[in-house]
Amino acid sequence: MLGTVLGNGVLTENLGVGMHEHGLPLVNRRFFEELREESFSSGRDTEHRLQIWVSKLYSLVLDALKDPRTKSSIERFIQKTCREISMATLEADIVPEKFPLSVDELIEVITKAVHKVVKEKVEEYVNKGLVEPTADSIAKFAKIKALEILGTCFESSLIKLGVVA
Amino acid sequence: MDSEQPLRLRYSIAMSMLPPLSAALNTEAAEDIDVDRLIHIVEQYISVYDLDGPKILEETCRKHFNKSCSELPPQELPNIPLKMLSDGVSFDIVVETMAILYSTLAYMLNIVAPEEYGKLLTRGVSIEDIHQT
Repeated sequence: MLGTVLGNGVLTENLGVGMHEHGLPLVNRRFFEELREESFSSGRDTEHRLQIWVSKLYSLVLDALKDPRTKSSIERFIQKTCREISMATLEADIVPEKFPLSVDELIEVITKAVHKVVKEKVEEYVNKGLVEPTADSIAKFAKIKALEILGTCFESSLIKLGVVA
Repeated sequence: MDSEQPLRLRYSIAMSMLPPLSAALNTEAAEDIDVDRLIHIVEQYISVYDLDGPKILEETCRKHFNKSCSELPPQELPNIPLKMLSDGVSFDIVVETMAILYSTLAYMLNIVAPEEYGKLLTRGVSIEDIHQT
């Protein structure tokens, strides 16, 4: 297929080498649908299901960050995607500043940032019936929102980047 | 290639274009490259993708080569997106810059068929349209 795109010159030959070196081919979109289905069928409640989904996606994110040549550039791209998603869902700038090895650590940091935003807008969320005016309800809502933002951000970033099969 | 092509695939393709590009840039054919025109095409293309693209491109040339991009010798041109990459510029902008820069260079150096060069690594934007701007 690539030979058709590029013709039969020098470029085509070199392409073959490049594709092999970079460990391609990549997975298709169905892979992400299956990942969602698999995660959402195994958890005991919404929060737990989202947590499983985010954990699976995050291990793929860490894989995508393994190459030192592209690491900081891909990190910036994922942060850009997370910013777009958090602005769309919370009208707030929630960006993972670091990508720690532990997904729990990342979830904790983002949940804290989301919790702060939710507390600031609590009246709006209470009026919409999304949250009860109690500490527990606000904390639970913030955790679920944080997981949704992270999951959507990682899924969208990985689809655009391409995940190596 | 269309907008659905994953960035890492396009990056791999772009990186594998470097050896033939470098080889061709070290021949007499490189003398005919209109760098000013080429940089104009690159700026037009990446400004469609990201408004900050042309500014990032120029800042990269100033920072690493102490020159404007259009003042660079043709042999240095493939290094611009590589410097953007090492600076941690967002991967999508780096790949878009590689796509337009490497594919247009390949066309100018006659190492890809004219009717095919518009497809090479691009997101479906017609390069003829960019030429007309």
